[in-house]
Amino acid sequence: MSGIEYYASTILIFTFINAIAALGFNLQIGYAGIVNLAILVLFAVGGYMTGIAGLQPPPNDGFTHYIGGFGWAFPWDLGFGVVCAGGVSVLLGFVALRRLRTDYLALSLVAILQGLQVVVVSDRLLFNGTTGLVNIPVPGIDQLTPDQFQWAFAAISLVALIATYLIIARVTSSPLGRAIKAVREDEEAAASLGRDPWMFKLVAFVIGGCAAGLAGGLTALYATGWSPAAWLTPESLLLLTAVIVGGRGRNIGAILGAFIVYGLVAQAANLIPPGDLTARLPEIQTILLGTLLLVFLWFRPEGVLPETKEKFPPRGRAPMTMGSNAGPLGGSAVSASTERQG
Amino acid sequence: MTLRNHDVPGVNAGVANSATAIGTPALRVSEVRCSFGGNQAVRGVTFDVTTGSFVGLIGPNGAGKSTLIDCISGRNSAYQGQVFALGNEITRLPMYKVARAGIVRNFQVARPFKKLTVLSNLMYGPRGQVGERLERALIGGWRAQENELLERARASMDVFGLGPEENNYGSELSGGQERLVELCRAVMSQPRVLLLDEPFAGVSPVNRKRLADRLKALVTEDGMTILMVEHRLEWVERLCSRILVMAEGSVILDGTMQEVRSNARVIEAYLGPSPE
Repeated sequence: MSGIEYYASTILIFTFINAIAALGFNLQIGYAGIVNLAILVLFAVGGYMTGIAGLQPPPNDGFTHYIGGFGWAFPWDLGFGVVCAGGVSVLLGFVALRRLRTDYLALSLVAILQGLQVVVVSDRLLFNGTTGLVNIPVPGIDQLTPDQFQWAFAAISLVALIATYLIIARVTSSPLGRAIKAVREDEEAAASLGRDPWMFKLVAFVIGGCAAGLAGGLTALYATGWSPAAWLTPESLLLLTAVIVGGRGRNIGAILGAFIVYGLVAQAANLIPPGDLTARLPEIQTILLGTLLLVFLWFRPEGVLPETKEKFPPRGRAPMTMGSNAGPLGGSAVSASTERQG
Repeated sequence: MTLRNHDVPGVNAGVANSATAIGTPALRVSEVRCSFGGNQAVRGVTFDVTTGSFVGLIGPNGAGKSTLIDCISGRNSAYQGQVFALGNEITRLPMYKVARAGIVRNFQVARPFKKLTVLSNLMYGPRGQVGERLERALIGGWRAQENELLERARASMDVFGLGPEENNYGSELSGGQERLVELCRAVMSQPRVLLLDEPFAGVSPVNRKRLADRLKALVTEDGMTILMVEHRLEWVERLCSRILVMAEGSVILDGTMQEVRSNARVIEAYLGPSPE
């Protein structure tokens, strides 16, 4: 594999992984209207928990400390990371979503993010402090050549992306998705029709959190490590830009946004010829992303692929019920419904 | 086609619920008091609303009518007193629990979901949709119910000529259309008690008659109970068998329209004291 191929495959892997996180973030912010600026907490939980599930117990070297160390093989370590991210999402949902709205919710989530970063860095016994977790076992690293490993991990990431998309798309295209959007639009009106707005926001929050945890776990596996430097607050800007640019409230838009932001814009800084600006690449990257975000917010806030209207069968067409010969007035549909409900 | 509440399996039971004990009022309001700062908006209001009746709630601006509706519906929980729905206490419950107890309302300023289409707005109305459960959303098995609700929703829209607006966003409607969409959405939820706050405001003349006929049918044919705040007295007179008049936070008369028209206190509440 040439250097260019290795670089391209690495970008592809990170783009797939961040598309997974963007899907989760889009469900929270685009569909449910929850500005979750603590999304990186869930990303980090996925990374850390995948790591401690896959690693062996910490050695008695006096330097390395972390909880867990279960020695689980892939994909159980990754699954553990996803479940833990979901659990933390539930906790955050109880703490922040229950009582807080809009600006106060966003601020409280930022505060939680900052606080947890401080805790994790300060307490070496949890996740090894600033050093973080290293040598996280990676599936196939010993059995495959480096080239094969690259493409195998790209395939794993792509499968995970497709699975995440299918799950989230099932939710958003169902009455549950409609209810989540209704709560986003007007919580009080939604409550006046018998729905508890918090429950629907929590569902979106937790599913989105699991997606972020999956992305974090995959990142930890690919990088064979995880540290606090991996979840700096500016990473939230990347995700936010991806969702805004791609299109809020549109799953394909979130994926497209991830490709645009991670696959193109974030790499554009790397096209700068070596020279005085080379040391400034991270800042240049941030400026490019911020500029892109502002341009879209000013001129195309709906994103490249805007949210679409819910689709229903057109009038006059027989309802699409499996196993029924329902006509337009739905006589048989009642029977089919009874059969399903019974 | 008559706008009826079809008994959709798996969704809400029909509004004429045989479990409601004979004689149990659909709505009981007992000594409800509500203040905003130093202003007592509702002062010890007490009344019952019989199941299957259509009651009007009228009064001059600032009488406390909408505040009372807010208290009953759970939108405002900062009140004293008690509220019962179909024999069950709903005092100071949050709005979604009051709605689950069978009381659904509209709002004084219509609130359709702006970024949902008209059809999506109505489809959201019915409670207990299996597709709103996470496991069903993932596994499936909700389409049959969805199709039945779709029929009801479209029939409801057609009554008011909203069919052409089916795929328009809530934000693209006129004021009267917003009102009708909100009302149809509320009726789709098959409430036992419907609290209406100025349902005719902004509605076109031709749709006002249709709306009046539909509301009457909901009461006479489906056994729904309606408490309606309305300033247009012609509709109150036409629809309501009983009228509550509020002024300065209190109910000053409970009677027929004939009694309302001839009552000195009511006349004074609307027109002010006669110059002496």
